Amino acid sequence: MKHQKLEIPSCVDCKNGGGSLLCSLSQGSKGNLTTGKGGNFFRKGQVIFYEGNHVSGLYCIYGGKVKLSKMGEGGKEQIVRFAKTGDILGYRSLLSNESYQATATAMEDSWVCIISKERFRETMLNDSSLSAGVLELLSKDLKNAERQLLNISQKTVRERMAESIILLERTFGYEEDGKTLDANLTRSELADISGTTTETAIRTLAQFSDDGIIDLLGKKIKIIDINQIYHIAKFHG
Amino acid sequence: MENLILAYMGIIETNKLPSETLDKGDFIFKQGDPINAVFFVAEGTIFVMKENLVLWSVGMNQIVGISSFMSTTTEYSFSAKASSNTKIYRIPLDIMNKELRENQVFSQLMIKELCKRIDHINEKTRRFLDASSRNRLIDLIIEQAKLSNNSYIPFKINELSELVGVSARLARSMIKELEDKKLIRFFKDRMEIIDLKGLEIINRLN
Repeated sequence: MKHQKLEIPSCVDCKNGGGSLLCSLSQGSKGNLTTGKGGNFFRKGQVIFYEGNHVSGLYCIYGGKVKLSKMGEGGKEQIVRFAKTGDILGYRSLLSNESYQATATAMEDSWVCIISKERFRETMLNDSSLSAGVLELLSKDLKNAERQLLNISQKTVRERMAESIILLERTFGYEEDGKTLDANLTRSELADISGTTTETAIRTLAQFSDDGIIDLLGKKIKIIDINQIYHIAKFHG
Repeated sequence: MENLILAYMGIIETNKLPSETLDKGDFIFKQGDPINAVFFVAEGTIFVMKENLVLWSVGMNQIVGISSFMSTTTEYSFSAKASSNTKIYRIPLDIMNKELRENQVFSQLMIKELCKRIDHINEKTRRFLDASSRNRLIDLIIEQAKLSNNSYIPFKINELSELVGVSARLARSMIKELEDKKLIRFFKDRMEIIDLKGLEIINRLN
């Protein structure tokens, strides 16, 4: 994606393919959200908002990939979740009237729309389908948070790494070859999602590679045997 | 939160839902059971468990089963067991769905409650990640000793190292340190807890 001025699309005309929660709203609600909407382009690695910042609005990814992370006391990063085109960010902080609970960083060049918090709150009060959609999003977040805690506290590093690969597969999918995960993550980031050290992450990935389960192509991961990954992760949906 | 408690109490009263009393050890539901209700805890405490491990506890004026209810799955993903004598109210799914659909205030309160719960769990995960591997190892030993209510824990070194996320060599050296302090004794395939209180003290000091 080249750096160019973002022409802010109206939510009514958004061509995001219905992937966003906002796409399913009525034309009236979309129009309401568009009023006062802004947009911005973020280069790969650029921070969209920081943990602890006051909430400025609701972010909707028009194109790109973003990671949300929290910083531990020891300076260790905890990746809370990933977001892709159509996903919204910052809604929990906005709804609970608190500062951002995580830092959002562009994982690749990304276009992001910024919806006014007042407009979002107002639309939610008037449109029960938006409340229902937000509840659905929150329930997914809750399930993911519980799963992450369970993984960290109960699963082995090998199981956690396999589960992290499944998370990437489910969030970002594959490249055109249908085998290579469509995400570029450093070993350190993979370690953060799996709750381990970079050294252990490297060792575990090398074991997967030696076992013929994946191929490592720089930052890319090519899946050779997804069933085996599900089996290692003891993943049940 | 208080408003949400009031909202739940209103639902219970309006629908004339009866209370149920559970003895310590009784299950409200088991992992894999079909989801049919959420439960308001009026008295006592509930353990939320996966397999036989206690993940967290839920106390008075809190709800059990909400994450299963909110998800698209049809079965409870955890078990819920009374850890003391407990009084609960069963709120059937159709009532919850109706309230969420028709009661905008309840829906907004639920959204806030879910936000809080997610932050709480993320914070718990962060605390877990921040703990040193030594703390995590001692935490694990203490937790298993309490849960099994037994002086012997059936763990091998490689299992410990995997659970804590360190090499077997590091796990062995940490175990030896605890043995030298006469807190535990390690055998080939199990561990004897000699001084549980001592383990708790050393864990707090680190």
